[in-house]
Amino acid sequence: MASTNNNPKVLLKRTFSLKEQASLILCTDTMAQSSRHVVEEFANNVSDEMPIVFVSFETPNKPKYARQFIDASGKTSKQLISVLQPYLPQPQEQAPKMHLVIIDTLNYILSEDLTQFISTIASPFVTILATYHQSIPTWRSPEFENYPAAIQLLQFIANTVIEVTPKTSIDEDDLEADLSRFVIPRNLNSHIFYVTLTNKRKSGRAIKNKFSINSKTHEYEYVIEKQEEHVEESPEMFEGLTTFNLNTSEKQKLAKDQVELPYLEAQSFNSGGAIVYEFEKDDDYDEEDPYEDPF
Amino acid sequence: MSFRKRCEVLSDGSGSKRNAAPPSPGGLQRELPSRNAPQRRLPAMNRGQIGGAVVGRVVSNAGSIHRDMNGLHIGGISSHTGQQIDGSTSLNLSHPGIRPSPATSQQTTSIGCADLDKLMGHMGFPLGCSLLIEEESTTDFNSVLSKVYASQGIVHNRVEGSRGFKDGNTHLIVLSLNHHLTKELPGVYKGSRKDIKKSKIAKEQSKVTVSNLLESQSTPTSSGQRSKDLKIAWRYGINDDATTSKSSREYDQSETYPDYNHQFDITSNLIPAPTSNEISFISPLLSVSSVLSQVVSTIKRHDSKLIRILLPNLLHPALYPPKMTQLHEIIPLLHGLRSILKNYKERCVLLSTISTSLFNNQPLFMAQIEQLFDGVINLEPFGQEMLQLLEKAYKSQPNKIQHGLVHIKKLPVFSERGEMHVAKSEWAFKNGRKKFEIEEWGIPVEDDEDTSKKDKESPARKAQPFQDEHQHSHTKNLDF
Amino acid sequence: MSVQKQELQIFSDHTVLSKHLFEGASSNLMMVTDTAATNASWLVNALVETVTLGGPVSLNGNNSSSAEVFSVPVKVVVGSFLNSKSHFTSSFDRLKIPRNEYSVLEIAEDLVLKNVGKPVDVVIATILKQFQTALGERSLLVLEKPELLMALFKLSSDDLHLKLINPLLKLCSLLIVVTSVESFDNDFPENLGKNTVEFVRFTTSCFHKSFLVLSVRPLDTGKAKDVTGTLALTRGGALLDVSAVQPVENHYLFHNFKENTSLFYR
Repeated sequence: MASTNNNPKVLLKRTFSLKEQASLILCTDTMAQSSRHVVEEFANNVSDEMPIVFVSFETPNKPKYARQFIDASGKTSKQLISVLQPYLPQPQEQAPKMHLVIIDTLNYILSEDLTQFISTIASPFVTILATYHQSIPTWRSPEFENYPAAIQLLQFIANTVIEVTPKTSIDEDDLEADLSRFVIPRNLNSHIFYVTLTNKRKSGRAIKNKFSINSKTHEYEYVIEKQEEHVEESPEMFEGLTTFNLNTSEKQKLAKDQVELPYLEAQSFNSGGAIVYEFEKDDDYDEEDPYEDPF
Repeated sequence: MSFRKRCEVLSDGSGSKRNAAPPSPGGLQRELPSRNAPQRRLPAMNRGQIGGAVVGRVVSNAGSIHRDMNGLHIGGISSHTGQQIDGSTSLNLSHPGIRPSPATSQQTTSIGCADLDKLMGHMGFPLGCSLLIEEESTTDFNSVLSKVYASQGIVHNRVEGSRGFKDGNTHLIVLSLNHHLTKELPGVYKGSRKDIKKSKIAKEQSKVTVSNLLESQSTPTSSGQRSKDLKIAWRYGINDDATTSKSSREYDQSETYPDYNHQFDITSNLIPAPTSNEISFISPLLSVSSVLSQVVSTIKRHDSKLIRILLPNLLHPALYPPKMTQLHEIIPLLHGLRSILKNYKERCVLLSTISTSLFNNQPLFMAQIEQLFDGVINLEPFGQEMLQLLEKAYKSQPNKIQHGLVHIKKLPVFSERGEMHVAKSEWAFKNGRKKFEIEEWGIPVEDDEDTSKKDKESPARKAQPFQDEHQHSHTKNLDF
Repeated sequence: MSVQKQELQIFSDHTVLSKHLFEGASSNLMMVTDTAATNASWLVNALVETVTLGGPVSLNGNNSSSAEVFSVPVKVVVGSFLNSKSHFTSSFDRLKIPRNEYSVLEIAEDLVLKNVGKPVDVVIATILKQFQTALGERSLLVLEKPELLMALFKLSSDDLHLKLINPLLKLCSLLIVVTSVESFDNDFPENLGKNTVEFVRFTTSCFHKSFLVLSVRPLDTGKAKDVTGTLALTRGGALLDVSAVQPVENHYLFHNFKENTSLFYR
């Protein structure tokens, strides 16, 4: 087991093929990058033997890999469970098969009902793979204002959280601003994207790894988050930029460092907040002129 | 001039005046009889026609009005009844307040404010469409517009004379609890006080009476005097009916559609006040279904009339209870009205006003409301500082001071097709006693010495097309 | 200055609406978003034309060059919660789409008068029934402004999706939801009102169900003389359940003048 620590890619593979024990695998996605491709990866990696039950709130189309398809629209969460139950391993069964229940979104289930819903379905022989769309806002009734939001709950109870993010050059804040205006930039929701896999170990530790995934070729790439290093200014940086000499020599640097900046004086508080102004010999101050106020 | 004399002028003058006014050859059929009228020889009176009719009606002396009405309507009925019959279910196209849109040739009617009509891009408001006038800040310019909208309907109804009281061609449905509105409606503008006086004298003198003729023969100067007065009379006429004559096209309009729109004097009152045959009040606070069914039954009752629906001060906190601001209260009402409007789209228009300053922090709420209207414009009155700046800039021409900006959010028909008509801060409005004007907005030049000169040359000149055109047409007309 | 006009292309087989969409048994959802300033009616017209006349004839002042019969017979049904039947028929008439090629349902007509006071479920059932009778195998359904139902009948976004949109999606091959994104803004105050949340929720949920979003909006810079706005085709949160074609991401500028719309590349 310990070896998986060393090789994050193996861990991701094991997660996709459900070899890592988990009763709830949560995918969180946004408008910028949907989790559909991740779900496809799961379907691609699990053994063909494994029965997959697809619970759908969003599409009437039964995916090819699904053995059972349950249309959840128009059903209360109780009704849904009762429809779902027969397809799950029954408690009296001896050594039942592992089942995978895919729920295309949990957004339609009230956060108050959510834990109840998950815990009724979940069992040692069932893995739930569910998506939560983070961009969909929820209005929270004042009644439950202290109750955690759905996403908090899910992240808390999930064994594995896969956060899906787009591989894009757009600045994160700009992207968010655009999407909230419903302006959708190009090249989002592509088949190449990032996932951040958070794996909660039995030991209590959580391991977080980032991968780049190409869902067409099924290639996974471990991404080492580079720390933005503070780059020291070097003469080479200015080469070829302009014809001006932008470099500073050692001597100039020293001189620069020794300059006492004007506000330093103000920080000494000696003058009690007064404005520090000293007449110099070139100053031509005219008492009469209202516009020539040195302060 | 004595009061008594004025009465005479009016009562007699109106009859002759009407006859004296042949419209352009392409004019409406009902005007035909008057074309052969003997008084036609007074060319200067040509375009004074409705002016005369209208003045007679709205003058503050109620006594003379009724007489005037009686005098007016006789010709109207005889020439008009035939048309009225065949158009019993849909609207009669010879309705004085209807003309085709120059842009889409859809039938349109006037809002009651010529500049706003123009802003719509249709020279009016297409039938079957709705307009929402929003107003930011706590001012109340929108009420001026809703009042002229109401008055315009009543005036259309009375164009044909006192038939309007019984049958009429237009009905106004006001969705409001404020029944006082009937007493607050402005009357038609009759020119400045001086003009009114002069015109009356002129009218009297122009009457072909023995004494007048004698007078003109006896005094050599008087013929000149008379024609001069006639010019004034004509001028008064143009003031009245052709308030809209700004471009050559509109010049045509005033000839082809003489009663299409009127200019209102917000300090005056529409007299007599609208009757129950002309205006119906329905409380918007009733249950949605009863509001809607009452509107429908009113429309049905006033078969073949143009129906102007007015929904003023929507969601005004003093008139509407808080619960009405819930989406599922207000949207059904508006959606239902929209539905009715589209069902009767050949003869229905709707105007509504709302103070958006109350709902500024609810952009989606307002978006939902706006979505249900075909046209949306937004008035943004200037703050105190801006007004002071303008006052400074237009020191010598206080009548040039605008009161705020007009933003266009949606235009009827065009926006629906996908054209983009949002115009922010392109137009400005000013509200005067006699007119709600909308003109192109340009930041004024502060140098007051230069303002008048620059105005003529700068692109901002377009902003005053009315005045320029007006003067222009004056000189042109005085020639003949 | 002459700028090359562009053909509208939505699918990887260079079509506006691919015939493959209507061949299988799957149902897919496409979203058209517009704003108050830029109504998407011209785009809806073009999409309907594609299926009925064989190509977006009205775009680019086209001389009906590509007008051949759509290879698969597709039923076209239009249902709007905002506009009346005559609104569509008159504009389709102008485009010379034969009336037997499509059907427009009377939904907006007296929607309130007919249904006020009734339980929401009954209202929705009635509306669904209207669609059920009109739709058939291989059909294109254009659903305009369904979000109005939320305001009209106190319906939640989730209920609208689960009780109306999903059943409708099941009934047709391609569902085009036309919805307004007017006033969607990141400037919303921290504490979102319930109404606002519901509207944003509806649209965002829709996004996650659509394989493509066609977004019509004005230029960020506002009014321009020869550009009305932009049409952006971007992938949505769902995958197109048709293997033969893929949606293509494209950005266009469009100019709408006197009922003519021209497209240009951005």
